[in-house]
Formats: sequence, structure tokens, C-alpha cells
Amino acid sequence: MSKGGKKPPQKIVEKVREAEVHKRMKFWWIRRVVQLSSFTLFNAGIWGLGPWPIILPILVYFDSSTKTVTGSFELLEYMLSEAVMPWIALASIFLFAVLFGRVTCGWICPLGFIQDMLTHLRIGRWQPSLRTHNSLKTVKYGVLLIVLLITGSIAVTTVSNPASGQQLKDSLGKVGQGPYSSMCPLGTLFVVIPKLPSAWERILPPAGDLTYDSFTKTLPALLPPILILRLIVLLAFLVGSIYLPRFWCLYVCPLGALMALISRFSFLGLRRDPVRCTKCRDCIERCPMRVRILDLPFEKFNDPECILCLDCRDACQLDAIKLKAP
Amino acid sequence: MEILEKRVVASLIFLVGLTMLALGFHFGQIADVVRFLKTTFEATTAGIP
Repeated sequence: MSKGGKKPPQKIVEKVREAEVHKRMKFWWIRRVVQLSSFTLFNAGIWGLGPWPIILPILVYFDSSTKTVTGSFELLEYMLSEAVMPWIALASIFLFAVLFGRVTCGWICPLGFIQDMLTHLRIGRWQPSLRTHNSLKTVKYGVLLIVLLITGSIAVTTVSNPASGQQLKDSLGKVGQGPYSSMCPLGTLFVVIPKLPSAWERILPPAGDLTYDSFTKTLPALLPPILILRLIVLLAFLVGSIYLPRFWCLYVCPLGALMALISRFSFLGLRRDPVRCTKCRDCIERCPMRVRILDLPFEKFNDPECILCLDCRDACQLDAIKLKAP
Repeated sequence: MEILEKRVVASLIFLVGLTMLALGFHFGQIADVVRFLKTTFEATTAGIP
């Protein structure tokens, strides 16, 4: 209502009514349903489904006997370590990123879903300064570079000299098959930890024979360095995700880094209506990826960090943010 | 970068992606994917003693 008691212009009334209609349709719960369905479907091997030859740019490091789809990045690592050019894995990343941006990160990635659930615990919130945030964002590109250097050097060595390549791969152990996969918190959480009790049972002497000396002797076998490292990474993931939304996607995920390089040119993006937008900053405060929406061009924006979760659209009271394609 | 320029770059990336997909099919990599899914991925279980 205007200050002078006059009726607001019909155009504004219409806009507010339209906004109220849109307010009823929130995307967050649709996203949760999609995330939960994908999470279940990608691990549907438990019920004897799959595997299907579907390659998606997501992180699905479940036990391979239960997963139904392949993650592009794990396939890329695997193929490179086998000295095969990963055309199909790269094609999946390029096509998804250019057509839909990082929508797979926001809507179907199991790791993203777990992070969203952890953030819902609302134990605390840590908001790094913009400078720290911008510096930390580059870490994921470093992770990507390290992974590509390790797998790439195995591939090049294998092609030039198969015996040396195999030797290099063996010397790296399981890390050689997938430097990132062997550290991924999803694998640690859903595969390694559930299998640990039975593995430890095999190593430990029977309860009657267990002494301090026998326990200390078996300790290096019980907790190999790679396991300790995995547990530290998992702990960092859990704590980070509780205190900071999408911590892993923002700062660590190498697939996210690869997708971010391409998704800035994506056909699918968002647009901000400059007439409706009051620059209230609700969208920026709600964005889990800390995209500075108001600094981006209004006609169409594809921020490399944007995962198209549409939380900004849900947060906007005046329905100023909409999907835009192409 | 203007929207039009971005669209041109996106179209080129899309073509590159399609070429990679065609190369993947040509080299029979879909069979590799299924084989990869069926065999145990040891890196996932790395760390289990």
C-alpha cells in the first residue's frame, strides 16, 4: 500500500498476486524427492536391479555390486589408469555441463544429497570471509590437477612402456586405480566402514588370546595409513558439511571443478528480472554456493559455482529469478 | 562475454561432446562401462585391511 493511501498501480497488484501464486510452488521439496529417489535408484543393485550402461557426472562410490549407474569421474580415473582414452566419460561431462550446467550436482548427486541432509542438522554455521572463500574455491582445481597428473602419468607410462606403467600402478597400490575414488568420503562411509568390523575380526586374535602386546602388533594391520587418511577425509567432510552448506562441492570436488569450467557456457541458466528485483539480497543469503547473483548480468547468468538448485528462486518474494534457456 | 558469444562457445563445446560420444561408441567403450560396473572397483574399498 502506498504511503498517501492511494491504491497501488494495477500492474504492481498483478505482480504481487502472481508472486503469491508462485510462492506456493517451492522447488526445495521437489529437489529433495528427486535427490532421495536418485540416491535409492543409483544403489538399487541391492534389489537386483541394473547395472545399466548410464554414465552421469555425479559421484556414486557405492559398493560396485550394488550401484546401478557409473559416475563420469570414477570412470575417467579408471580408464586413464588402464591407459584407455576416456572418450565416453569426457563426453558425459561435456554434454551434461554444456546442456544443463551443474544441475546434476544440485539435483541427483548422492554426495550433494548427503551434504544437504547434514546441513539440515543446523548444529552451527560457519561463513568464511569472501576473500577466504575465493581462495578456498581454487583448492578443487588443485585436486583435479593432482588426480589428472597421477592417472595421466600412469596412462602415458603404460602406453610408452607397458611394464613400467604396470610397475608404477602397482607401486601406487589402490590409489593408482583412482586417486580420488580411493579417498572419496562416500566410499568410506558406505563401503569401507561397514566392512571394517568383519575385516578386523579376521586380523585380531581370538578374544581369549588378546593381550596388549598382540594388539599393538596387529595395530598397523588394523589401521593402515590409507585407512587413517580416509577417515580423516571423511571427518573433514562430515564436519565441513554440517557447518558450511555444500562444503565439498565448493572447495574439494574435482568433478565439480571440471563441470564449473564448462558450465559457465551452459545453455541452461538463470535470469533476474530487473523490474521485480528489489536487491533485497534474500537470494544471495539463501544460495548454498554463495553465488553473488546481484553482481551478475540480469538477462542470463551462468556462474561456474551455480548448481541450479533454485533455492534463490524459492527465496525471492517477488519471483524475480527464473530459469532461462538457451 | 556477451550472451551470443557464450552461445557460440557452448555450441562448439556441445559439438566436441558429441564427437567424444561418437568416438566412445566407435571404440566400444559402452561395453567397458558395463564391465567396469560388474567388476569390483578396488579403489572404492581401499583401506579395508
